[in-house]
Amino acid sequence: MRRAWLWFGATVMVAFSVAPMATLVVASFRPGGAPTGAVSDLTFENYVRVFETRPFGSVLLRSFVVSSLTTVLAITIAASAAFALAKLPVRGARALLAFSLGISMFPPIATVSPLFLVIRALGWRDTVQGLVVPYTTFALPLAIWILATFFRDLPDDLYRAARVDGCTPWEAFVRVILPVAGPGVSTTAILVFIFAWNELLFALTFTSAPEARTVPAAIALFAAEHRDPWGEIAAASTLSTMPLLLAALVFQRRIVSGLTAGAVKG
Amino acid sequence: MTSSPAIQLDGVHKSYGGGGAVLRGIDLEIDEGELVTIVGPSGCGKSTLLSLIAGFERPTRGHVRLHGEIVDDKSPRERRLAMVFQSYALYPHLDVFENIAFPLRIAKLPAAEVKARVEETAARLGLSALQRRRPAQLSGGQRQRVALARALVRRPSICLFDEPLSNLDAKLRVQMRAEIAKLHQELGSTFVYVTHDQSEAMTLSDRIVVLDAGAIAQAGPPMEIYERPLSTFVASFLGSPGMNLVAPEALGLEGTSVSVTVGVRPEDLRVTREPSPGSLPARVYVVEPVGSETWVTCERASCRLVGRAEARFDARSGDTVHLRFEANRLHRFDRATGARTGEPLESLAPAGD
Repeated sequence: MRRAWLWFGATVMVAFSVAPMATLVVASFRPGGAPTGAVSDLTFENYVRVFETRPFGSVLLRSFVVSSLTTVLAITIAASAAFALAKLPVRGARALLAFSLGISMFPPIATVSPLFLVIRALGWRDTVQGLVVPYTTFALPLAIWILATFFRDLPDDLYRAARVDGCTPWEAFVRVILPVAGPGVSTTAILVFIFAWNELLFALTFTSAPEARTVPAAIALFAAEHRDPWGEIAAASTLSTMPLLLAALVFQRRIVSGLTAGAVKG
Repeated sequence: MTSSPAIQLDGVHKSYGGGGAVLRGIDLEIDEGELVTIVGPSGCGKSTLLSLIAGFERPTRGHVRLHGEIVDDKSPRERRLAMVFQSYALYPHLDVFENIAFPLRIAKLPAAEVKARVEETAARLGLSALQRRRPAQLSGGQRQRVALARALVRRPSICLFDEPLSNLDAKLRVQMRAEIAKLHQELGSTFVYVTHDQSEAMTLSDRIVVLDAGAIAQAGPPMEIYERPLSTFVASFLGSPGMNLVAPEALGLEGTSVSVTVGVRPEDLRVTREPSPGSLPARVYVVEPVGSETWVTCERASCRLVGRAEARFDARSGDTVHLRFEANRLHRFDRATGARTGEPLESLAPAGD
């Protein structure tokens, strides 16, 4: 009986969270994006049109480049900052962490106008760095916060052992702390990637050339015509979800593996 | 020319911002090749002392010298010590071989030499068959051995131990204790060993340093401290069961002009069924047979005293037994300060019961 309830609950949960996604995928295969209809109506027409009538290939590539660079940059900076705040004797580490979290609560919309002026003055409109730099800025507080928590949970003795074994603080970080905190770093990297991949406001503001847009900005501008191309929107959205799905699947094992088992007494 | 001691602490103070002093003026010299244990109850500052020697922290005042050189501002890396941690602190992402090899790899030794030295050290500690296991796949005792191997593979002149055996079960602890003593004999390195376990300190050490509230209460060879404790703190800390510390009246001795506490070790207090000349009657409170002998807790003059009886001592709570001791096995301490006093024994005349 309890098992039955468990299965029932699980089914409802899965249905609830998968339904919108399923509707989207189904719509992407129907002419005009109609969410219902006969099975014989299924077509790849929407997908073909996304690539033939629009520069969606270059948009996907641009999104991928921007998100990857943001992730690498943000994780590199955040990991070293978080390590210092969590394990080194930094004066006011607590205050710094609180301050960085405070920044992440700043509504992006408030910074768009001044940032736009800066980006335009630098000549960074429609460029990769024009998105990567502000994305990194906004991803950092959360990344630092999450990583600092992961690093703080690692036993101090691990760092001390590395130091006694002859490591400089940097070597201890790269050779011990970072690999041991691997699952935490992967988790944070995925979160940053998702943030950059899905970001709309800056992408819309700082790009104007159709090829320079990222996926969310491009899809948002699909509809700026006489009709709403629901089929193409659905197809493009489905495509843009794939990288995230893949990333989650690839990193899932590392996230769950819990590398720290056996580090200390157990 | 005499060579400098391996480790020398000159008036070392340590306090943390705002809080009181953790260490208050530690002066200590540890000679080359000595095995010194630092004991004390938790919070006495013994781990802080080790941190200062290792270089994780620097003294608020005073100096730490290694081989004569002041190292206050040197990093752990520059001090070239080895250390074994209470939590073992093995690198979970590396297998046993790489864990042991880690210090050598950091020192950028040639691969062939790394392999030779790791294999030699692993063999010495009985780890040869486990070299490809990860720490998570090892038992507590095996992890402890890996931690030891990692510390000793560099052939350090000084090795620090921070309560290395406290996470092992009792049987393994005794076994590893003997192994550490043997390693010390073979390697001839200087070992500094922190523990809260007085039996570890007694069995391992060339010299014991007893810490109490951030100051050295007494330092010396184990038997010297055991037989001539300088304070009631040291007297009660070393030995198991601990020394009886009672008013003189409880042992049938007349109080003197100076107010003293009298101490007698349980093994110096014989408990018998039958009275003998000079023995004192007492009531049995609890009987604890340990196999080779029996510890009997008695009550006398509203004081509790632990004494030793033979292996198969038959008594129950409330029975009357008889206590006997040699006057020269008594320790006397100032009741107010707890310090050992030089009061001559003769002034404590048996009162006669």
